[in-house]
Amino acid sequence: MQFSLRHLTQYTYSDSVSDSMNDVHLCPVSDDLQICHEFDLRLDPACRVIMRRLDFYINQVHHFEILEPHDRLSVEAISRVETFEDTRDFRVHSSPAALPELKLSERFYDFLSPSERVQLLPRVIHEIRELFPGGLVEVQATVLRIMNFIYSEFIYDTFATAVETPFEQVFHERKGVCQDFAHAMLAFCRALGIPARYVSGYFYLEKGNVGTAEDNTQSHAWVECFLPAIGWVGYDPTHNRQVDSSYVKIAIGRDYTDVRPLAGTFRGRATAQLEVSVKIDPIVPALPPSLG
Amino acid sequence: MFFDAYQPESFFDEMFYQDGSVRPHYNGILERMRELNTETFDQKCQAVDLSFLRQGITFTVYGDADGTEKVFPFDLMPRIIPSTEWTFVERGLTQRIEALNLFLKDIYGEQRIIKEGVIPAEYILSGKHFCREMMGLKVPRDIYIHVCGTDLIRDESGNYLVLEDNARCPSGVSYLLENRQAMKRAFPNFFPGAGVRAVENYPGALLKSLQYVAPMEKENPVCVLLTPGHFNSAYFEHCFLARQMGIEIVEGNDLVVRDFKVYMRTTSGLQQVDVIYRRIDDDFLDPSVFRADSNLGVPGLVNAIRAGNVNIANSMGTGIADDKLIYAFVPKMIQFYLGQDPILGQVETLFASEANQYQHIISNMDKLVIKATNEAGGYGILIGPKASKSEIEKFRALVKADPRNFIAQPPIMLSRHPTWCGEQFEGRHIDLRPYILSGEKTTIVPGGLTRVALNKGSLVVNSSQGGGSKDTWVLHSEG
Repeated sequence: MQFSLRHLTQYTYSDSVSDSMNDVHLCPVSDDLQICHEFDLRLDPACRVIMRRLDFYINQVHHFEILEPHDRLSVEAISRVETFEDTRDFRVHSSPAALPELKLSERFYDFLSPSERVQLLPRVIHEIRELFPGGLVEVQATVLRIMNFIYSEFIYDTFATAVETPFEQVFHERKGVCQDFAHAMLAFCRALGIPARYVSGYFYLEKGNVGTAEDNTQSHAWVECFLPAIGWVGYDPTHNRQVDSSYVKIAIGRDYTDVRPLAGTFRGRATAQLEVSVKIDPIVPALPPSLG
Repeated sequence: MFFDAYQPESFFDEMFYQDGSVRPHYNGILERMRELNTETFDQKCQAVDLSFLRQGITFTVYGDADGTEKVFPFDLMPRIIPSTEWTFVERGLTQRIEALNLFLKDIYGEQRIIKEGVIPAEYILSGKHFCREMMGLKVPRDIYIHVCGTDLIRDESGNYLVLEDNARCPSGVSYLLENRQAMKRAFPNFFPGAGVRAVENYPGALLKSLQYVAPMEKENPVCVLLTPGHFNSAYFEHCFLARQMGIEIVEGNDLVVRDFKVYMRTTSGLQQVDVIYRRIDDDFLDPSVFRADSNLGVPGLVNAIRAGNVNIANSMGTGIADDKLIYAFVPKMIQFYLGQDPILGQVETLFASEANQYQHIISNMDKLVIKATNEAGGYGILIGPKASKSEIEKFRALVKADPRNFIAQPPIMLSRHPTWCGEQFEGRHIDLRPYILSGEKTTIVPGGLTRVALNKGSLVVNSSQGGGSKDTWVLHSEG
């Protein structure tokens, strides 16, 4: 599928600020399952130089500075992305026997370890034991079971948490948004020794389907788990479904902290008010011109 | 008269052989000391202490309720190293710093040392000071550690061993320089004929190293020293070095970033800065990347470094090289990167994170030295044989809670040196911290800072824990 995406972040400051230094994770990745054909970052106030680089997890990062005094900042990321069907064979069994040695690899270590927002709390360990009393038998089935568990145990509630709500509280109250669902699933997977990473992105849901209130108008988050026989596979615990071509991936990381869409500092004594709006539109391929 | 009652006991004594005869390189000073008596010696000691205090050569002890600034106690009896012995140490340190710089280039690049199975990935990625921001970042001339303070000790047979590498912001070099000045003032007649190698060129050599790593090999680069400010325990040293090098000393607020370039605010406007000798830790360098709650650093600095418009010494992320767990792998690094056998030995290290060593550590805490892997300055250390039961229990709990953060080593009886203890000379344990500069070539100021544990029997030489220092003489000859 092809999508045109518009992600607008607007800050309004209570007083004038300056020397605003920002890191942006808003440019979708290009990999085996999607290509980012176009990306544009529009800033207001305008900025002279935008620096681009790849971070530790090979995500695209843009840096910009707004030095002059300003009382609002708008960051508009516009992209056109094409996604493809995942044609890998998902019937293959993944034996857990291959998991222990993954921890020895620099490619998996970070996704097997607890991180700032994914803590292997005693309660996580306890629930994992209850869910899988016989231990781990097949990796894909286990991951699906975890996703299903989180989907049915956690309540989707946009008022229950904020970006900075601690993981422990989310886990205890069992309410939250996609970010919280994803963190909970990461904790379960990592506790079992299955490499799992956080994905930020967008999800397109056609009208008429059952979803959450934020579909198509907000950014989304899900996880990717590593199945030894297949590779990295995306799972969306908020919707209880495997990720397909209606998902657009921006960045991966250990947890939300690694892929914050916009992070930075400014000089000044102002408080900031944040407004985000996202628009996801499928691009319908143009019909060949009619001969009539 | 000074040494009539002196006992080397069963330790390696720097000045005396086991049978009580004096080592040849101490003959000279012994000769000169015959001209003194205990009274004049004691007067000189007091005069030196007073002059340190008046000059403000002090340090701060964190967590100490009653005082902020203290004089670093100075012992007038110098430590002497003969020429060939020093040449050996110098070769060993040069080899080691080369390997450490190659290691940093590797782990923030190709990671061959992990991929080829020499160091397990988890030891590096779990390191508190492994800096993911450094990945793929190229630093000028491939030098990461520009200034290294490597702590050396000598075992029971006098072998030099590396105890730890301080590859972040090693401090103490100002004491080395001031100690020499104090010695010259106290014993003006000693030096001309003593055959002691000079140390005074350190600030010049440091400045050269900084200039050498300027971005894009710029000529006459502007260098500054970035300090966290006067609350820092080493603030005296920051001022001292900046003055000696003739460069500006700045705090975070004095620097601004514009278009990925760093500028210093001056009375005549902004001036671009090329190299920052930073004496502030990674975490505080740039609040827009690391700790947003700190304003010690410079917002935007990290991106200016990435853009290649400014360089900092030492580089970010060098702390992984002096992680006490990674320390255990330095001999392997030397083999891996240089294809050489390590010249200097080091202390055998056990990992609490390894199941088979964990049990041994937990049940032998009273016989081992336990160290937190990411602490410096003598904090986070348990010396088992000297610790109380409750201290041991406290550490046992800490190790159990976070095994990755602890290593264990057999206690080494550091060498001893005659040290003035008010009325007579007694043996006190010492170490040696040479300062290694990596620039166009590796430069090590002859000797280093000899630290001495002033409390009888103590093995801890850190200034924060009852340590003092001595002047260190490297001789032009064998003595």
